[in-house]
Amino acid sequence: MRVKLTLAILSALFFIGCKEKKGSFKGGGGESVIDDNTVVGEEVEALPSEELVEEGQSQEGDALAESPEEEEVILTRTPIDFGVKNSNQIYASLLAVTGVEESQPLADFFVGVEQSLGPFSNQLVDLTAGHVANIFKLSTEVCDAMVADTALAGSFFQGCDLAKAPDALAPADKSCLAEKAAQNFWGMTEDSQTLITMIDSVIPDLAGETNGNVIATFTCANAASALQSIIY
Amino acid sequence: MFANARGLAILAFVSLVGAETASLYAAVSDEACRRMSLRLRGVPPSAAELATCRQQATAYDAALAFTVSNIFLSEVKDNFAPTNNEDGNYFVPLDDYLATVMGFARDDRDFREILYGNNFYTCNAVPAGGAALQNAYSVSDNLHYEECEQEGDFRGRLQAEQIQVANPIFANNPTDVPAGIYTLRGFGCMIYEAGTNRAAFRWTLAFFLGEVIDKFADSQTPDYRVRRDVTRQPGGSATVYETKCKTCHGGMDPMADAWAFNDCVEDDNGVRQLTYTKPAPGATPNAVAQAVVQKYASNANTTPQAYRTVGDAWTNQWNRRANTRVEWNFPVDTDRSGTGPKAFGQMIAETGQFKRAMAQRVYRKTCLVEENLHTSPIILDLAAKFEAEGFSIRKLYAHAAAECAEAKNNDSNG
Repeated sequence: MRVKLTLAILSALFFIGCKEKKGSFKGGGGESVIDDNTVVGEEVEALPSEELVEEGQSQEGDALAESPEEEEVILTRTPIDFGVKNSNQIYASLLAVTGVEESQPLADFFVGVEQSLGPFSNQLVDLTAGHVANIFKLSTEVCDAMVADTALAGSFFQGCDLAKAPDALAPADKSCLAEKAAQNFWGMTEDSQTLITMIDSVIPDLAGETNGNVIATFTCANAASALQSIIY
Repeated sequence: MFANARGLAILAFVSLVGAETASLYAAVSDEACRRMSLRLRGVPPSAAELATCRQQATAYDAALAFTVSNIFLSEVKDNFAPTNNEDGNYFVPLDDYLATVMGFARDDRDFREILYGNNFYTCNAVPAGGAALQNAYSVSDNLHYEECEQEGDFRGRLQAEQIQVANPIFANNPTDVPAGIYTLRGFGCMIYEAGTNRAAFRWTLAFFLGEVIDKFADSQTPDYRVRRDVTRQPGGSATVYETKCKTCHGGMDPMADAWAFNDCVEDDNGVRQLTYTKPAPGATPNAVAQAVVQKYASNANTTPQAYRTVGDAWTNQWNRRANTRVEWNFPVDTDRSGTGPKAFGQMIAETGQFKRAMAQRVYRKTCLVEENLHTSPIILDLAAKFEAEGFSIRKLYAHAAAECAEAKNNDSNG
């Protein structure tokens, strides 16, 4: 399943990178919704989701609705039924997973980055590198607040040693941090090795740092802003 | 000896098949649990929740358990947030409208009543260990709800109240108001702001019937109630009026009269609040006509001989031809009349398309797939379940999440 999901994400990202966005479904309020079946313009909502008008046949949305006499070639494709959390969902899930209560400074920070945080819809195509950077910043703020609270940190990283300086962490300590963060944010630990790699990459830059919370915050923020957390 | 060995082999085979069968058909798979939790709450299940989820008899039962949480209510708010502003923006503060949607979800109330009922939600309840909000509910600002959102704990704070009690302007005419969200500040000040109150009608179609007004255009609708501000010769061409303008205005204008006494007014200090100008029962027809909000007479010189709105009596002439797909709650090829937003909201809420539009909105958000509003078997099935379960939007979410989790599961197994 993980392999399938990863392949799907990779192929979708490839799709984004190679293809110009040609249209999107619009809900009643103008909000975007995901559906990679969309190849034509705005008036496609009358199409069943399994149906796809062959690309290149019509680039004008209205043409579909207003020219039913034109012969349409209908293909079928399984919809890609995953998307990205919008920034409200990301923020809400960050608070829920960490147990951090929204404080005024945190709320101010979120409001400050809200409009640039993104993504602004659940469409994968709306996720940009800038959004990911902002999500990491927000994750760091929330994770910092969580790690600063001994009870929350103890619960989140249950069984892990948070007192050790970064360069004193044994492999088992790193695994513990990575697996707990992955389990809490992703609901699975299969990919936690990626977090260990991240931890290993940053430890040389933290030589002399004695505060163990730094790595805990770093691990938490990396798990929170990883694709496994953002895509759902 | 041989018989014993054969017996053991059969036993081993049976137990192996049994174990395999059990894992294949064991209630709800881990993957389905994870997907449902993510889609309904945005977070994966904890180990304890996963264990509980596996044991549920059906995916729906498992999904239902995930809807009993604050973060699920946040998801509900997120789904409906684009319907309280014209830009379709998700980034809006909590207000009385969105709190009411969340409250209806939490309490399994009949969701149709958001369009015509007397109930709405404040954050006046005090959760265990919490404190009352500093900002009291007000009909003229949103501070109460913004504080509520920051405090979180919606499940503990949301409290059902009566619109008629909270806002005395709606106390004198119980036949026509209150009318759910049409008489709440959050939704009202969006749809009544400036303009001609036609926005109230347009957004009702878009949000609660799931289709923009163009989809309802019908050139054969009589236009005797199209208002004076609509030119009959746009650009000098009567044909454009007949083939374009009239197709929407013919049906819209007679129904948009439902809000003839509703407005949202901003004073010199920037305070915005709803107004309702309908005179008490017994007023003369002239007094009633005088009370119609001014915006209904704007640009009246455009077509001075045309219809003038004299009250909140509305007529639905759109139960003909293609618009019968809405499944109105009155006979096809007839008109339906009423007065005020309450009766109008009830008429909309009792259509078949309202059920399907809500099913589509929930399915779209929960499963991230767009399904056809009128023909999709999934939407039709969800709409039927929505009705069968007393129009509980929470249960509709659970059905939708179970539907796509099971579909994905079948894909994986297939």
